[in-house]
Amino acid sequence: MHSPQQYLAAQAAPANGGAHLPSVGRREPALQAIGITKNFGSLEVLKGVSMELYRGEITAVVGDNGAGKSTFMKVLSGEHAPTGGQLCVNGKEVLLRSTQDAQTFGIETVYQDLALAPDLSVAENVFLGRELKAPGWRGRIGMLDRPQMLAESTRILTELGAKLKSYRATTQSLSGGQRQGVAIARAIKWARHAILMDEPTAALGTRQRDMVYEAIRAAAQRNLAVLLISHDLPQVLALADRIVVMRQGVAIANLVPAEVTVRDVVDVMLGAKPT
Amino acid sequence: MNKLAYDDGSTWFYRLRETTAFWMFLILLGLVALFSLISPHHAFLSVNNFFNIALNASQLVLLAVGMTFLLGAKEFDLSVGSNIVLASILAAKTITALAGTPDEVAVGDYPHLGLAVAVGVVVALGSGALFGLVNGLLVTTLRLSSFLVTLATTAIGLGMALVLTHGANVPDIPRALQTDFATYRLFDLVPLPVLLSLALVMLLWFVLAQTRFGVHTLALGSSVDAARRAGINHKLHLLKLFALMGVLCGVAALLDISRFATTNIGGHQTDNLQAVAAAVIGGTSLFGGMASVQGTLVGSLIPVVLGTGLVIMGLDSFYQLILVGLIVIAAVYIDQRNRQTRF
Amino acid sequence: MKMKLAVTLASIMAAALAAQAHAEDPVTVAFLPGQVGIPFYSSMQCGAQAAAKAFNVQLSWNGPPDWDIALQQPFIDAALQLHPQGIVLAPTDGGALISQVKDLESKGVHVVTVDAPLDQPVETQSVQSDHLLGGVAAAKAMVAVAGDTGTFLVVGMRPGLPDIDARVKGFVDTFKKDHPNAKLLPVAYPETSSTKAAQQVAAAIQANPDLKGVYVTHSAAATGASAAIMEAGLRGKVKLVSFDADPQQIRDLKDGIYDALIIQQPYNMGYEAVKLSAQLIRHQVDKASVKHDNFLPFVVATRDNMADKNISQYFYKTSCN
Repeated sequence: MHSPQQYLAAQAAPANGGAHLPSVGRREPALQAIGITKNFGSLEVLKGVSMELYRGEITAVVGDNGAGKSTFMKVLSGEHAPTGGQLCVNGKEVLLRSTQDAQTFGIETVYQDLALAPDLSVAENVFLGRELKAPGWRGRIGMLDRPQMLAESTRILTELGAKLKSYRATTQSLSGGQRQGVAIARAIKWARHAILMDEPTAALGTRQRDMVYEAIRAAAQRNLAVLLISHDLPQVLALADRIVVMRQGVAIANLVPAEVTVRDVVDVMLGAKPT
Repeated sequence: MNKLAYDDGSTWFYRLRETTAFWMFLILLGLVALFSLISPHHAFLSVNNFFNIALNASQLVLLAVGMTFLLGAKEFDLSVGSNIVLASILAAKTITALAGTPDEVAVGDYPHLGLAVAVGVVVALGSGALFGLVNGLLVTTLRLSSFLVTLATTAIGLGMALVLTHGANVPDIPRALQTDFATYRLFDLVPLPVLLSLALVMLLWFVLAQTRFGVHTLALGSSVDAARRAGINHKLHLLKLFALMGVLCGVAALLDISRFATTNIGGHQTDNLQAVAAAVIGGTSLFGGMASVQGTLVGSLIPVVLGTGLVIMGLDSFYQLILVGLIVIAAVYIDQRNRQTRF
Repeated sequence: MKMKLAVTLASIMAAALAAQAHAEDPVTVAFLPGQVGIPFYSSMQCGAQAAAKAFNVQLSWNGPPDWDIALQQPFIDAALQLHPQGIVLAPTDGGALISQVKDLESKGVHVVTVDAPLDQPVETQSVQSDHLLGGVAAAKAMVAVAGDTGTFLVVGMRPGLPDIDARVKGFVDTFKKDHPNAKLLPVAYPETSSTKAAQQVAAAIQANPDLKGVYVTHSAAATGASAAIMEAGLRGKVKLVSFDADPQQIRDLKDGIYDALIIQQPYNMGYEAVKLSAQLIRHQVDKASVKHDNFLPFVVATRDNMADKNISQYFYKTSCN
């Protein structure tokens, strides 16, 4: 395993894990990956990725296509089991065998395709798989607490700044940005430690993008660790507290957005700049 | 640029979607009113006739509600007719075998009728559920389309029925089933099969509209990925849905043998499509994610009302087929248009 | 392997043909029923086997579980592989089998059809029930049990089925001609659905308080009609006349569900067809002298006459004994 090079002032986490970034102090990371490897057959996609996600912080992962960003995120979300390495939630090692395991440990994912059921209402989607039972005997015969589900969904989405005409509407009747808002609201509703987002703005127009960025900030403000995969470098620089650059299955650099330009980030991504 | 029209549209579409069943209910009321007005001596307009109609819809509505759940989950069951035939044969054979010695049964004497019927009910429901489970297992484990799986099990089920009976309907089914259950009318008015079907329909309406099971069913039909990522065990859920359809076939089989005191091996071939038609008329989508039990109830009544009304009017009963076909087209068109404009 | 078998069989057959002069030698007849297992055809099989025994015929009996040309064709093909000297065929499709039968006849193999005829008279003989006369018999039976005033309902299957249509026509024509005071409702067509039949009969009862009788032409209609009559509390008041004599129907006749049954003679169909085939093969009968249509009459069973041996011998059997 080759040792990743460093760039500018920020330090890359060593592949064998352990060291904390000085810039963020010695807080306990909400989610920590240590030397994660992932092979698909003989193909080594992740070659020892280490990364820490801290509460209240937006960490952006950038990299060229095939750098391993999405695979890494799928390991964190429980969709892929890692070939090697460790995952820790709040300092305790966890084993994620499914997305349900990840959800149990308080990690929520906003998928690129959002994973919303288009025919279900906003509230049904926010609570899908974790529906609320009505109080009393009605709950005992299996009845859902629809008013409560509706109220909570409305509250979260309003706080995120998504203005929906009707929270009873099916999600397929919403605009792209609104749908994204619903997916993020669902993640915020259930996440206790971290939210992972895969290209949340890829299919959106400018105005809707701003709305989604607001929602992402709101998530971080709720004391959640946010991991963001995005191609939109200017926005990443504006939004993220920290940028991790991946190349060829390794996290090669930790950048502080205030200290770098888009050009710098691209150079690191492509390995153009000597490091 | 990101069409506020969608936001306005959402509530409008939502209402329109709800109206598929509503409009069909209006059509149903319209038909009842029309036939009541124009039938000779207003013969159509009688409580007795309405309960007759309910009785004649009581089997179909069970299948149609089961189909509503499956269609809601974007699945399909073509094999309901075979399932009913097989379940009715097994139940009928059980009842005639347990009710007395062959000689006693042959002369119409059934000393152990109560026990025989109780076991027969269990056999019918068990056979139906097992048939459904086999469908479900084939769909989930082999990952085959339910359309093809149930097309195949339709043939297998009918083949088994013919092997068991050599094509002859099971004889000597106790007429008591007919007189004490199927034709018995509570308060001299309400046929018991109607009560049974209505109770099941109400229960399943509750399950679909008000419970987690119902939401998960529609979630599966809407997006399997979304359902899976939300932690829904989609294979287990599909198994339950196919088993539910199977149990309903078992109930329909019991209604069949108790009402007609015979099995009907040659019949039930179009039950599957009638059930789909009833569900679709009621606003259930063939594309999954949208289903309505109350709509299906309306959709099951419309063909029977048409058939009864036309015969009472002294008209050819074939007009029923044409009219039902037209209503199905209208319902499918509404569904399709909703889908297209929503995206 | 198959080829070899066929060749061997063909040579056996040739030997058999050479030995034809001896009337005592068995002849081979392939009997191709339209549907196996149902009492109607089981009775026919009993008749065919009785004739085979009486006339020293090696009889084969193979057919599909359903009345369907697509299912029957493989049985026909398989039987022809064995080159039988005579063929008895229940054609499941009057049109589709014409050319095959024509071909066989031209090669000197006599074909006798049973139960249903071909659309063109290319077979040597057609042994069948005269369904039109069955309808006439049903009309007479109906008048005998229900009188000839009031309203009557005829339940068919679906239009376009020659035998069922003939049963309907015989009944309707007889009523129109001989019993003009009776009112006939439009023919109901429930296909093979008992529920639909029940629905249509229930509606007819609802609309016509003076409904006197229901005439059903097949068993699914019969069960549906009987349920509807019972549900209306009119058993015995609305008379029910039906076709065929399965064991269950016989019991239902006794129990008062039916008031008359119009019974075919499947046993005699089987017997006559095999007997004629044996005689043709042995040249005891000249093909030219055989009349094409051999109509067997219907037997009418009522509660009053059903104990009579002359009637009960025609009831359909599930096994021969």
